[in-house]
Amino acid sequence: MTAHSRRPWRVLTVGRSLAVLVAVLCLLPLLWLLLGSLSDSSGLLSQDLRLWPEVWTLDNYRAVFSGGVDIWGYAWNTFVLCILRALGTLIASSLAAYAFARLEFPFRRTLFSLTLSLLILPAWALLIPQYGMFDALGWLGSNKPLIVPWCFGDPFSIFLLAAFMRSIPRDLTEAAKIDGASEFTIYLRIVMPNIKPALAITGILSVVDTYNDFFGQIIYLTSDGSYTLALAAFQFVKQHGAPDIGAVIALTVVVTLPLMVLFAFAQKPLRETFIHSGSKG
Amino acid sequence: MTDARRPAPHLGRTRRRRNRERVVALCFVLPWLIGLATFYIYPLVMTVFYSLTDFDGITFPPKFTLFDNFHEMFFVDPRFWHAVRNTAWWVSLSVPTILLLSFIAALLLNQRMRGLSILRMSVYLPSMVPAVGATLLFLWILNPNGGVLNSLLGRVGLGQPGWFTSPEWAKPALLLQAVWALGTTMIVFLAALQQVDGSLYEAAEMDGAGSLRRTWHVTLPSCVPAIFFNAVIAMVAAFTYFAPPLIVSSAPPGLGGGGGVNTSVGAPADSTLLLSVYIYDQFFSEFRFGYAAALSTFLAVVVVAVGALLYLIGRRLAPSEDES
Repeated sequence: MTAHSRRPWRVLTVGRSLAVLVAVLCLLPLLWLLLGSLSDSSGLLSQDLRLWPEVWTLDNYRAVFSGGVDIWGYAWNTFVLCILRALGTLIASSLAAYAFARLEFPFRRTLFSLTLSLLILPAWALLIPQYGMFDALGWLGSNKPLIVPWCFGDPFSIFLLAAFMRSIPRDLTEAAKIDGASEFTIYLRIVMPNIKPALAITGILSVVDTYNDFFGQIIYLTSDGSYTLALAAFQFVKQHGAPDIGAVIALTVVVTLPLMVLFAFAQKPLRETFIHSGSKG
Repeated sequence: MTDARRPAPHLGRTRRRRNRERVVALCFVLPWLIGLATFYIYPLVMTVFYSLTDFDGITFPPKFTLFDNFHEMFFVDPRFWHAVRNTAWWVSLSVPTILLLSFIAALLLNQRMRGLSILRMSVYLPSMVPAVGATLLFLWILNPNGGVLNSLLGRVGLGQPGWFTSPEWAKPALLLQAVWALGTTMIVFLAALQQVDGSLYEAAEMDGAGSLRRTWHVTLPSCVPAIFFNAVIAMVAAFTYFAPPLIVSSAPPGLGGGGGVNTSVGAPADSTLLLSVYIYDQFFSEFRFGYAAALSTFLAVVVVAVGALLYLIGRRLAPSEDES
């Protein structure tokens, strides 16, 4: 309180104006994108700087949705991929995290350190043998290589969930143990319900990570029918020699929108975990 | 089961219980142990093995060629050094830039003011835009022929760079896009700033320290763990930066990109050829699995080495609060 009120008025004003400026600079490109997708495509690339649409139209979206691009199919592929991978990640990672956080077994610390060190290992160092493995299984061109490995756990999710599981008071689980509950019952009935916000965060981060896993998608999703939205947008841009810029802009909105919607829904858990977890109050 | 007939029943019971606990724990980690072995350790070992062969993905078994791949990398292949130079440029510029700007943004968003949560959300939002969407958006904004930014620059009489279509400006354009998405880094700094002990500020103020000196002497030292956490994350992300450079080198000039159907990755003129992109090219377009494995091994060794170095420096500089 005192530290803030004694600052000179001028410094405060400059600081606040700069904060607003940064926020505006971050939002402007998204605003342009939205306005651009709703204006006629002839004005999207013109030297005479138009920031506001002269004609409001949905033609760009019509061009995307009727132009032979199966948007709904790609959206479905993306949805299936994200949901299955998030579910697999959550189940397998929470089991491992429970063992690391609340059980005793030989080499626990070593194994946990090894798991953490995988966080900085580039996916490139694993790609070629994995590709060979999935080729032998006949999985190339399907979404299985992008889902099945995560059903055995994922280092980042294990790390995150273990941190949250450690914060649950021992008394809570000891009482159940005395009543004769098995470890699995404790995991399922006591620990999991107590870390619901952490599970939500881990699930959301997994979906974002999967959506942005362009490297995995471009390598394994090789048939048109298996494309995700992101991959379909890339192929659209790459293959059309002289594309309609309006369609590209509308497609950009379509690719971006799912994560924006997710972000809107994720507001509460995100803020609870990241912004307020640090505050002392 | 045999433990039950031991002479010291009490000791036997605790030991049996401990063994049972171990078996239960093993059941919980078993899926991850299988995943760790199958999808991490085995592929990692095999990548190193392939890097010593001429594996092409078809011929089995691959011919063992010892260090031929590494010899070619270091002494024959000019594109490898090109990729190394581009990657070095990218990592050494993008990591400090993003760290510095996101720290400043966090400081600005740590003030008391009206609408603060809306401002924080606005700065965070771009980092939620998927990489493909962000790249297509910046291809449009930075299009040298009628893009918004160059039109603005033209209005105020400044130069109009070719951005993604020009070899000199393609990497700075990528940097501009990466800076726009600094939200996740900023959030980590913001959380660290909120943990700074308020009494430290008051003490510094009584000693007559101005707001800049307070930031330097109080805020910065308290944020050392967050800085190194962000540095490691940003470093790994920079070394494996993939979708944006690949997309801008595949998009035709009409869309503001440097490529087109017939150009190779890294366009224009290999200026966006990062190591990550080059490995993809050698693996997926040239089918040189052995050579790509050697490149991957090199990339992994560099990332792990730099990561370990950052970790050690960070541990030395950070206040020892590991117990908390």
